[in-house]
Amino acid sequence: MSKNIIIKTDKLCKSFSVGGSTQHIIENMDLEIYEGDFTVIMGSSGAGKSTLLYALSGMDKASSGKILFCDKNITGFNSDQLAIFRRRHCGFVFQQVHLIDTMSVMDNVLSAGLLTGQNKKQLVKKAKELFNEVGISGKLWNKFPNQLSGGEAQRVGIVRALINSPSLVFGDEPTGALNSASSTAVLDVLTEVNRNGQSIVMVTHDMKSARRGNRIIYLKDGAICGECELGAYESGDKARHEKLRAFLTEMGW
Amino acid sequence: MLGKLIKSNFKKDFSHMMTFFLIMVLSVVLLHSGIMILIGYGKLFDIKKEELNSADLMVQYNMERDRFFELEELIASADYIASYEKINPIQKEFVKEDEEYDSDSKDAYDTSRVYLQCLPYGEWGEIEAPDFVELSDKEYDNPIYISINVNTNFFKVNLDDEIEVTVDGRPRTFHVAGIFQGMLSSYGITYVDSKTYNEWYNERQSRLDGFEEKGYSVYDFGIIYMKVNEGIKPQDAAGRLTKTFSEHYIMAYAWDVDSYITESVYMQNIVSAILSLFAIIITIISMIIIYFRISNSIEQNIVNMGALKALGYTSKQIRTSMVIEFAATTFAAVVTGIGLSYMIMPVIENGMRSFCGLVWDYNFDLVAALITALIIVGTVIVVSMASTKSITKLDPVRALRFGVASKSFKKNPAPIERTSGPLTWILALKSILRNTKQNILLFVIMLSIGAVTTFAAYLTYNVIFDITNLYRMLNSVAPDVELSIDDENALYELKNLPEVEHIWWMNYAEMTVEGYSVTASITEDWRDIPEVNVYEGRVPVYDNEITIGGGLAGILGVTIGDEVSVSYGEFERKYLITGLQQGAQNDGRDISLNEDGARHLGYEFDKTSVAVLVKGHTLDNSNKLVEDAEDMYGYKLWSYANAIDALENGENSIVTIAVAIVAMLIIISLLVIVLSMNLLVKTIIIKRQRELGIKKAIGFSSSQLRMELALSMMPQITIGGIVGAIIGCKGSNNMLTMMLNSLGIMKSNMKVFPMMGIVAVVFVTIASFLIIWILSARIKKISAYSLITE
Repeated sequence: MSKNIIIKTDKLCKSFSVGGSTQHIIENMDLEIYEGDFTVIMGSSGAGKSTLLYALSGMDKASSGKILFCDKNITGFNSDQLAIFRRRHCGFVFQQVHLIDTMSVMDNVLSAGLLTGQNKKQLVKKAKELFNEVGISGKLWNKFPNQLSGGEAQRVGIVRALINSPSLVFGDEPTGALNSASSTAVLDVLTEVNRNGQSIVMVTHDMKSARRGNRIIYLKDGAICGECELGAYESGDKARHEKLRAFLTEMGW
Repeated sequence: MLGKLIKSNFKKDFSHMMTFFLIMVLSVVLLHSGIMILIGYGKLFDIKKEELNSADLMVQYNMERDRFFELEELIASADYIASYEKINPIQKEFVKEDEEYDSDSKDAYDTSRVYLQCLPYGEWGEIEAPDFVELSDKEYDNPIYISINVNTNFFKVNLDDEIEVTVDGRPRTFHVAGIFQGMLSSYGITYVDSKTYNEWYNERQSRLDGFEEKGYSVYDFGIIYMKVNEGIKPQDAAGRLTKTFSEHYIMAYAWDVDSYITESVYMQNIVSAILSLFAIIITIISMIIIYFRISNSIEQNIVNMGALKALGYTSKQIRTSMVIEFAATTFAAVVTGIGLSYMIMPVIENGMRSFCGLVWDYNFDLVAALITALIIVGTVIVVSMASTKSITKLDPVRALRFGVASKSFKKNPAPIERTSGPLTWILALKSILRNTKQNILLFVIMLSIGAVTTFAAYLTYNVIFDITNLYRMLNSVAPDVELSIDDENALYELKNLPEVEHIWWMNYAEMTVEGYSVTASITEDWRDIPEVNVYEGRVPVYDNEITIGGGLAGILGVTIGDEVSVSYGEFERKYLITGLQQGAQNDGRDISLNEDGARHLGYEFDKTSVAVLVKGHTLDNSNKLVEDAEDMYGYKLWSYANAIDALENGENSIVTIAVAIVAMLIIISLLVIVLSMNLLVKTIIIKRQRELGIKKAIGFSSSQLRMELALSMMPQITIGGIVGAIIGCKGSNNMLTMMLNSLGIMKSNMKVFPMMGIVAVVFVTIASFLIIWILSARIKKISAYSLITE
């Protein structure tokens, strides 16, 4: 059964001017991300993983080429149109969490949720359900981010990313700053989110995190170097693990 | 080591410091100009008195020619007069050619004509010789040399311009060959060529001789300049001389140079007060901004400061680096501001020149510069020292370990879950409830601006829209129309006219109170007259009572309940003060008494002059009254003074000043709003850069964030504006009293409406919102991506 394309790039380029010279981070990239996939983007440092992620999510503008979300070209959007696109269709989970430290946990989530014009009562109910799903108990809801552990803060970040039920959740090394136990907990949540039908695009350099994806894309010098289809994640699936290892070895990881 | 720290601070805060620099420059320009004017004009009149060998006294007389010798004898025999010079000008009425000439005009406020005292060019004595500011090198057949005052108030021309006028009903053309400065002579002394003078002189002589031959009394005009003996005050001498004239039934009045100075210096006082007041307001605002900026800087750089302490920098060094940053910027602003104030001074001097008739040759004023530097730099150092005090308590380990996070948020004001309203409004509310310092800062800035703009609205209404309020305040009795009619029944007949509200007989006489020359207003019963400007006590009721000008009461050290001696002619009598009145004529040296009271001084009350208040004080009614009076009395109506017409249609220098002051108040208010908001908005954006980036990432649009920022500042702005407007409404009259005090205004009572405050609040709110909205456009530049990749 063929998968629906949720986001697609056509000759996507992204470059930066550094000290008068232009650095091409992504060059003429053609990429398709499918609905319902847990896509993992890997690659060495400077390969353009995060740049690609932020370009796909409309957080940064492409230098040239096209990005089509459900066949709609978002590259011509102005910054306010992109903001509306992000609030309606995207959720973000960052490595550094990026919760607003002057707002309580609940306010961090509700402020994102209210952007899409949802009913506040239903939104609060939904936030509480999501908090319970990710294991954030009620006593933490009115705490401030600096009163949470790293794992707790990242799970709050996931709730914020999911509150608008986005079709795509972007993760930029969401476990990069967490200890092992917290990482597993966060990955479990993301896996569950994906199983519930939401598409995930996650950048990581961690193989343990990468194992959660069903499709691995490997970048090198701003271009897709190779990709690997792993199938749905099953805990303890050694063959799947080996396949990923072999792919990464082949890619020179 | 300290140098590096200072350099690094400067580099980091460059854009903030530039805005701060501009605010301080504005403050310095205003303060320095204000102090310069105060010091400069304070000394100018004394300097000019010497330089121009000004007369201490000037007597103008229009009396029987055969009694001139009596007047001269009285002056010669006065032991307080050191010397005198008599001049014999020809008084001529000049009518502007472009105005409709009406030789029978009875309008006392007719601005198309002026009486000038003409003398032949070159024939002047030692006292009050003209000092030419501009003198043409061209030779004209018909030159005229006019004073700055005459030019400002009447001709309004430049050197070498042609003046077309009507003199004695005949058109004449003159060329302005010179403009001079003078003191007592500046009101009307004008020089023409000897041919013109002789022509006029001969005409006059033959006319007067003709009258004399027919047996009429011949009145002639003359001026005597006098110098008083050392130790004698010109003002006292003027009073004594007027009294002497009065005792000898000589209709002459002595003007003294000190009164001329008092009348001339009021504008300098007003301008200086406004400039200095603004400078103080801006300085206070700057100090709050410094406090806000330093506290924020400490909060933002707490980790760096911890690191610096850990590296071995002492608290004193870190504090000094911050203080020096502000002090050095302020010092640069002082130098720039002083330089700029010298650049704008020619404009100010030119404006002032038209009010005092004198040229102010200003030089670099070290005292003004030092005072300005001391006040501004001193205040900045003190405030920045106080603001950096918290650095001494900063523990390096704690600062390094916890950084900004050491700031604990314990309360979650306005939780979104329980607060109703649109998201942007809730987030703005949360921001307001969390930022006390910012709220105080905004409140104080807008309080000042609110008060200032209310004062501007108050001036606009009372001086520009309805100048009758000012007229009523500046005059102890302020009739709308005064009519001189040779008919004793006039009052009773005019009373029945529908446009007349109140009407009474009114007389004025020159008297002396304890040796001071005063103008006495006399009527039958003061209780019948509404709107008498008695600001304390009551009007005179009995024949032994008077009210006196507050300015005079201050000079004499008397108040209500005291007795003062009043003289008129050979009579002198004690009167009880029942009230204090105010009026700007004669610098507040005026009195009021009733007909019976005046009769005790030998004054014969004359029923030829009526004062009228018309219904609604409207121009229509005042014009109708004049028309009706002309129809009813014809030639019996000698003259009229329609104050409403003069105020509303005349060229009024006070309106010009008010417009300039209001424009300055609005421009400076806007500048202060722009500069302080610029600093504030920049600081807020930098402080909240991370938060703004996160919000953008999760889908907030730039417009939403800008609106949130603007809304988070508006309540404080509006409340500050409202409190400022209330202060403005309550204090505007006091402020004006302070400004016009030297003019004899002891208690300003011009109209204040809540609408003035409302206008100010609306102005402050809308202007602030627009300015914040424009300034917050930099939020657009913050990309979510740059935040994430930081």
